[in-house]
Amino acid sequence: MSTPHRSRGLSMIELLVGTAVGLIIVAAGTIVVVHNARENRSLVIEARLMQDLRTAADIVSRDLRRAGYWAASASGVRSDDGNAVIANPYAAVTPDAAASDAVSLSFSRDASENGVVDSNERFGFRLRTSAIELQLGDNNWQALTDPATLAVTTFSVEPRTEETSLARFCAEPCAAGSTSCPPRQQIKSFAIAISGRSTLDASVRRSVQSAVRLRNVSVVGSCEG
Amino acid sequence: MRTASIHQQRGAAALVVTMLLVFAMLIVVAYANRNLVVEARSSANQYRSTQAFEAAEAGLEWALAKLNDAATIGDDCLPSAAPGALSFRDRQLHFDGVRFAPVNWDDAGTPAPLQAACVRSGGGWSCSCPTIGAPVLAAATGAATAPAFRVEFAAGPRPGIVRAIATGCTRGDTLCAATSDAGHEAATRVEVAFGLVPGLRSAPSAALTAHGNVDAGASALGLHNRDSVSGGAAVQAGGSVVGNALRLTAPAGSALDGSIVSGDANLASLAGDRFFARWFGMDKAAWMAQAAATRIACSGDCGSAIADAVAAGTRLLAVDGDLALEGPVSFGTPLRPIVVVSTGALRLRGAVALHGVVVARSIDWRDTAAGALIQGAAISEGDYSGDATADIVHDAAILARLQCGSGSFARVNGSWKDF
Repeated sequence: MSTPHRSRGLSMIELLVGTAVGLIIVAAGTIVVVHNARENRSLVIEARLMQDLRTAADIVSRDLRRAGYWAASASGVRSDDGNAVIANPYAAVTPDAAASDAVSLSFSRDASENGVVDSNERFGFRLRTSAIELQLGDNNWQALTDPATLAVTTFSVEPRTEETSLARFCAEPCAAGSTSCPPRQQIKSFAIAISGRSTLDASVRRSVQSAVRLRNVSVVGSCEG
Repeated sequence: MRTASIHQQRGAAALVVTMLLVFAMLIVVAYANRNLVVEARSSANQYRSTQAFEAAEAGLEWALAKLNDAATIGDDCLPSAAPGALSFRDRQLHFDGVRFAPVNWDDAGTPAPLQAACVRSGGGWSCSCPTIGAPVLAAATGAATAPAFRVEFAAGPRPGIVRAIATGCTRGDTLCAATSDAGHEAATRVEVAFGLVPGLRSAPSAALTAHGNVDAGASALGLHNRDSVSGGAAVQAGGSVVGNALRLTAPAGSALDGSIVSGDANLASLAGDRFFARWFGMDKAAWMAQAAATRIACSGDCGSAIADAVAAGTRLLAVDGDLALEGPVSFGTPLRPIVVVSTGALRLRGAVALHGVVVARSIDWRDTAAGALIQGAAISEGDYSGDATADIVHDAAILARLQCGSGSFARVNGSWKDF
C-alpha cells in the first residue's frame, strides 16, 4: 500500500543535493556569461578604436594624395604658343621638413579653374584637445574623430622629400652659387602616425601608421637665376 | 508501465531545458562574434578598395609606358610584326599634325574613345587593345579577386597634352564599370595628364647647321630653304663656308647672299652639349635616354639596323658611336619623319634619302648618286665635309611634325586626381 507512494516523492537529501548542483551550475554559467560579456565589451572597444583610427588615417592619406591638384596644370608646361609657364598655385604643402602634428594642403575644386586658392580649396588636419580636426575652408575646423570614444594621443605627419635635378633640361648652365638653378623635381611622401586610446577603457591603446606619396609632384627653381 | 512513463516524462523535460540553454548560449556566442564578422568585413572592404586603387594606378603607369613604346602591337597588346600593325600610341591617339586626340569607334551610333584593358589572372596580366569595339578580357574564375584596369584617353587643353583616365577594379568581368560595387567589389577612377616632351624642341633655321666649318669643295651640294619664316638661310655655320659650286635655294624674293650665314658668333659660342640643347631642349645623354628613343648599336654600315628599328615603329634613333650609311637606302616619310642622333661621326655614302633630322659630331657625305637627300634638316656639332652632289632641304612641315608629334610623354605636374 505505502510502497509505491514512497518511491514517488523526493526526499530532503535529494532536494538539497539537486538544488546545490543546480546552484553550482548556475554560478558557473553566470561566471562564464559575465566573462563573455566583459570580453565582448573590450573586443567592441578595441574594434571601434581600431576602426576610428583606420578611418582617420585613410581620410588623411586620401586628402594628402590629392594635394596640389590643379585643373589648369597644362599652363605649367612649356609650349610654343607664346604663353608663359605659370607655377602651380596649389603646390604648397606644409610641413616642409620636420614632423608636425598639423598639416595643410590645397587642391583645386573649381568647376572652371580660376587659378586662385579659394577658401573651400584649403584643407588641413591638426591635433587639438585629443581629437584630429579637419579643415574645411578658412577657419572652419571640424572634428574628424569623436572625443567621446577616442582620445588621440599623437598625430604626426613626417615629410620626406626626394629631389631629382633637371639640369640636363636647361639650355644654359647654371650660374655658380645659384640656389634656384637648376630646377629640381620634388617627390614628396608623408609618413602618418596616429595613436590613441579609448575613453571607455584607458588600457586599450592602438596606433596606425600609413605612408602616402603625393601624386602631384612639384618642380622648384628654374633654369634662369 | 506507469513508472516507466513517468521516468520518460522527467527525462524529456531535462532534454528540453538543456536544449534551451544550449540555444541561448549559441545566441550569446553569435552575438559576441557579430563584431568579429563586422571587423572581418571592414578589413576585406579595405583590402579590395586598396587593390582597386592600385590597379587604377597601374593602369596609368602601363598606359604611359605603352605610349612611349614604339613597338607595333597586336590585339593582345603584345609586340607584333604583322603587316599593318600599329604602335600603342598610333592605335589609341590620332595626330592631326598639331595635336593628339583619342581615336574613336562607333558604339551604336555614338563615338566612343578606344579603350585598352588588362586583367591579372593566374601569375600575370593579360591585356586587350582592340582597334574597334570594347576590350575583351578573359572572365575571372573562382572566388579570388582578379584586379583589372581599363584605360582611355581624352584630348588635352593644349597641343601635346592628352589626358589618361584609368579605372581599376577588383574584378574585370564588367570592364570596371564605375558602378560595379555588387558583391562587395570595388572600383576606383584616377586621371592624369601626359605632356609630350618633343623629340625636336626648336627647329633649326637652316637646312644645314654646323658648329664648325662647311667644306663642300667643288661639289654641287644643294642647300635649299624656301621657308621665309625660318629666315631663309640655307646654311648656317659657326665657322667658314667653302663651296664654289653650291646650289642654293632661298625663299621667293630674297637674295641668295642671305642664304649663307658663316662665322655666326652665337652659334660658335655654344659649347659642347649646349649646341645640342639649343635644338633639343636637353643634353644629348638625356635625349638618348628618353623613353621613346631606341638605342642602336652597330658597327660598319648601320643601314639595316636603322631600317629594322624604323620598321618596328621607332622614330627617335640614338646611335652610340659612329654612324655609317651606304646608299641606296631610305628612312622616314614626310608623315613619319625620324630623328637620328649619333654620338660619333656620320658618314654618308651615295644615295641616302632621309626624311627628318640628323645630328652628329661631324657629317661627311661622299660618292655622288641620284637621290641623295635629307628632307628636314642636318645638324653637325663639328664640320661638314664631302664631295657628294646631295640635297639638304629645310622642310618646315617635317620639322613641325617632329616638334608636335614625336617625343616621349611624361606626367604633367599637378594633373593627378581621383575625384
